[in-house]
Amino acid sequence: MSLSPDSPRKPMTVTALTISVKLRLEEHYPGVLVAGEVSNFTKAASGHWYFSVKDAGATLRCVMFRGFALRTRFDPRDGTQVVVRGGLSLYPQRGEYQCIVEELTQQGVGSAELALRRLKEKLLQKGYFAPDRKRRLPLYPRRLALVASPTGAAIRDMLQILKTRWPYAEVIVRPSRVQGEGAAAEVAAALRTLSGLHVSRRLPLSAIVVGRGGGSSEDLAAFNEEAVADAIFESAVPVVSAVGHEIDVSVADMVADYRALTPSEAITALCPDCVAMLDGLTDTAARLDDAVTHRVALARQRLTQLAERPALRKPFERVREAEQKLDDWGTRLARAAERRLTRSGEQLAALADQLEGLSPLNVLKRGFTLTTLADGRLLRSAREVRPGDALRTRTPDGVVVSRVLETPGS
Amino acid sequence: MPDPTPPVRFEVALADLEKILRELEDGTTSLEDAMARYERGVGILKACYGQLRDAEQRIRQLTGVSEDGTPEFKPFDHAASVEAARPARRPKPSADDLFG
Repeated sequence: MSLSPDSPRKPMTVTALTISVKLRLEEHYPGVLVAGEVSNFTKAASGHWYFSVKDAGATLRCVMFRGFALRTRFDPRDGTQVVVRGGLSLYPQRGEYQCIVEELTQQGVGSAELALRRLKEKLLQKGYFAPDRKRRLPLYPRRLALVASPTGAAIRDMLQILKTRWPYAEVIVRPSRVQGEGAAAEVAAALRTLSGLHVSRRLPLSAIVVGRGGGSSEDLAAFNEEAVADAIFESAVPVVSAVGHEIDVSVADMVADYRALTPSEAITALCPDCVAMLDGLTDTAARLDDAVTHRVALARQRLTQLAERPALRKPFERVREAEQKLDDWGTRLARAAERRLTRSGEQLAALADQLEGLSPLNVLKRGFTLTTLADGRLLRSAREVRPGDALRTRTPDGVVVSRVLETPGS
Repeated sequence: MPDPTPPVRFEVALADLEKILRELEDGTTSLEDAMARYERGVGILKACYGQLRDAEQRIRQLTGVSEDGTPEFKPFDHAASVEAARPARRPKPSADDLFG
């Protein structure tokens, strides 16, 4: 068996063999994807990277030329788990085969994720995430702008909660696509438009909510773009992000003044509850009433205390006592007079009765008569008269005059 | 058209109410002042009540901005399915009044 049967004993040059192997390697391994750990990593002055990727059983020499190295979004170090993509080749001068690496990624991390990390790092440096930059949300928003898909669940959820929770706020909807090609630019433009209208006082706003419903992390892409981050950062109006993904925090979430987990939560966080507030007002009204009632009671009490001080009390009391006495006396007098009159009336009536009973005229009515002498004295005895004397006898219906004919002694 | 009743700034109104309550509960104001504050408190409360009770959400869609910077609106369609038809009421004060 021979590689070159027609020239059995003619040796090949090292170069010829090496080139032959190199060509075969390049032909058979034009694109490999190899996972391993970085070792012997060096950055040459030329900008090329030289390193090895190894696992427990083998080592693969790698070179990454400057143009490709520049596109790498992380700093490889010895020990970093990576995936290299490239083609196998051979470095003739050293007789070593190697991988010409075109793309180097950290293992388990996609390139989009790497880009995102780079962006986050950049924005962090620019101060986009600084806690002291976060603005306070308005307590009682009067006009809210919603940037969302006009047909999505997010806008529906937000409007429903607004209707019951805070109908007091006026709502401005600025429709925008929130996913797919160009969504980031639309969201950013919407934010800039609204902020501009606020600044020009044409449409003052309390807050802007930028939201979308929950979804896969790919759908969040628009909210991970620098254009959106810039627009939120530069907004003159506080921005609430409601991007709807609990696990992945988007760049928009990090720049926003408030991060809500869902669009519904954004409204809940932003708006007070109207019903609770009315209840609160009722309580306040009761407190106000209590306070003023108490205040008046306090005043009354103080007045009483003042009035009881001797200096103030005495002159007034004297007068009052006098007045009271007068009143009292007046009443008593009136009552006494009345009583006296009544009693007199009664006495008179009784006396009249008595007098009437005693009146000799009444005796006469019972069949007796009254006889008097000529001098008017009452005839009480037979010895007081002699025959011939005149007598006057009173009867109930008249006086009879008569003369004495006989006496017991005559 | 000027608004019949200016909208309440709740931040200001509620802060005023709290202040009035504190002063009344302090008991250090004169009786006359206390009565005046009470009257004012009741007035603020009434205004707040009214604004909240009569609130009717207004939803507009911002369609664009004209060349001179004026915002352009149209009624928001989605609202039709969300908001049940309500009887017409008197026009509400504009939110602009709160932004001075």
